[in-house]
Amino acid sequence: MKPECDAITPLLGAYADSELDAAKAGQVKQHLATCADCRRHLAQIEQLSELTKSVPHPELAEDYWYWHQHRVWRRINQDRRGLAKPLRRPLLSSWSISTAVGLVVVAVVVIGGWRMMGQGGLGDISRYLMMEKTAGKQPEAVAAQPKLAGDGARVDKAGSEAVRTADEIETANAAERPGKGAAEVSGGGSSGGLGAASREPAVATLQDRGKEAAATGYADKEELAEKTSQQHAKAVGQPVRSGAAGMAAPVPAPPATAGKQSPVPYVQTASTKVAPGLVSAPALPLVDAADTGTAVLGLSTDSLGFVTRAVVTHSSGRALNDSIAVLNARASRFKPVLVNGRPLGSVFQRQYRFMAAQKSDPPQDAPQDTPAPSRPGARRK
Amino acid sequence: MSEPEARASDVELIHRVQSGDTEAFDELMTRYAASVYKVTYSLLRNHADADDMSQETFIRAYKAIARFDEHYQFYTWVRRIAVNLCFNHLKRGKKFRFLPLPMSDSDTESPDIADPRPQVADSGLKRDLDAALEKLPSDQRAIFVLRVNEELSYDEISQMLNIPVGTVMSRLNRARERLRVLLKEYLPAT
Repeated sequence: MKPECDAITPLLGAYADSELDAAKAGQVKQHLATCADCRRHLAQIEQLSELTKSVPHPELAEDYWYWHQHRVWRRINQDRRGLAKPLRRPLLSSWSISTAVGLVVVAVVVIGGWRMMGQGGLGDISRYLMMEKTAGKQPEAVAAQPKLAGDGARVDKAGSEAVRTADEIETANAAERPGKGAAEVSGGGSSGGLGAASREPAVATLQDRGKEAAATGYADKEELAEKTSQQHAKAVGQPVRSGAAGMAAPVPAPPATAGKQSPVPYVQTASTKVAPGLVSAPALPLVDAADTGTAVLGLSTDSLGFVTRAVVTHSSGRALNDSIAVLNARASRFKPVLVNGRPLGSVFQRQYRFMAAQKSDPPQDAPQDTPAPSRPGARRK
Repeated sequence: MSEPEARASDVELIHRVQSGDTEAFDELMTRYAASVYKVTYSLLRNHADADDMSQETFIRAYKAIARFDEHYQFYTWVRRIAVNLCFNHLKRGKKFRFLPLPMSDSDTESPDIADPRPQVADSGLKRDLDAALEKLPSDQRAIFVLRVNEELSYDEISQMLNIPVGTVMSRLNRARERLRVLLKEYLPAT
């Protein structure tokens, strides 16, 4: 090995990758012309690259990518609902949380009592309670939705603007309304509109308020509430039905760019009764001639198109078939209905017809009256 | 299809995803899942981890798509997510080694469960290359794979891993030197 090889060797990789400037590349080229060791070294670097590229990647099953997508959506759905298992134990145990809550309650009682004493004694309890009630009054847009304020985002009574993400709000809603899901909005707008129609903008409003308060440092809650109320009115692309008199008239749909403000598909807000289109579903099995029949299922989907509830509303006559239909529905995914550019959940009915197997039918090509799954790749045999 | 057309189409799909169209994200996954898997497999060298990381890549991409900068290409963006995920996985994963268990035929009898088992010819070269790459520090391994398998320039690697170009060059040199020694039986001196 020549003495100048020490200076050239570190450059050989970059030379092979054509990453050297012209001057250094010329220097290396000149040296290679006279040095067999460095030529051998360079050849091995090039062989190493070829060798690495020559090792094949795994050959995946035909429908691998279908299941890959399915698992991605399932995880997204679980994360959104807060069902994904935490990787670590929570820092606070249930015991320490309950202790902390207890201490806060005691502190509130003591401080409240002290304030009452300072303001004229226990005789003023009713006045104090009225003051507290007034202090915690919601801005109009939110106050008009008692259902949300009651079971939804729980704005801090003391008036502090809690910054909560959409996921947290949805998780809280899901936790506090087990099995209820979002209230329904009928297609014609005739029934059950209050909670659902008004929840969506209200959730956004609360988020915006929290973020805005944090970002802009609004000191005046009333000012923020007023601003939020106006933004709320702008953001609602549909008339909000409410028991309160004099709700705002329909306002124009939000601008197209509104969707970029937040990851829209991440908030489950309301449902429609419009049946969404099927994106994917496993095939129904073929059955014996004696077991044919049609099951009708009532389905609820969320804003991602996942089935959140599947119940048999009309039995096929065979309990096993009904169970299969429910399992099939739960493994399906639908295209969410868009209202004003926002995806909504749906509540609808769907038929699952169990057909008799023909001798010539291959087992996986089960005919059914539901639309065929549009899954990429054929099922593995 | 020319590159600008493909890019415009991606942007259109991203706009649809941002406005709540989940099917548009399906289309993006259909287009790029295989490429992302290729990156994760090249870095991690086993199917289970590569599968996990490629799924995680799209989950992260979906959650962050509202913040997607249209000046970048979608694939460049998701590849960066994938590389960072794999890089972090490599850094913390040295403590644990998971060996694949042989699956019996009965594991895949259910018609609704696809068999995701990758079919790889377990050649001596593959085994030795995997073993050699395992012996590299995670940063050297990532740089080597990004250069050789993904054919990224030093500048692109530098931006992706947030390190100077000189560091890319020196770590790549060290990785090559180590591999040259470990795989010398496959590198005949010419």
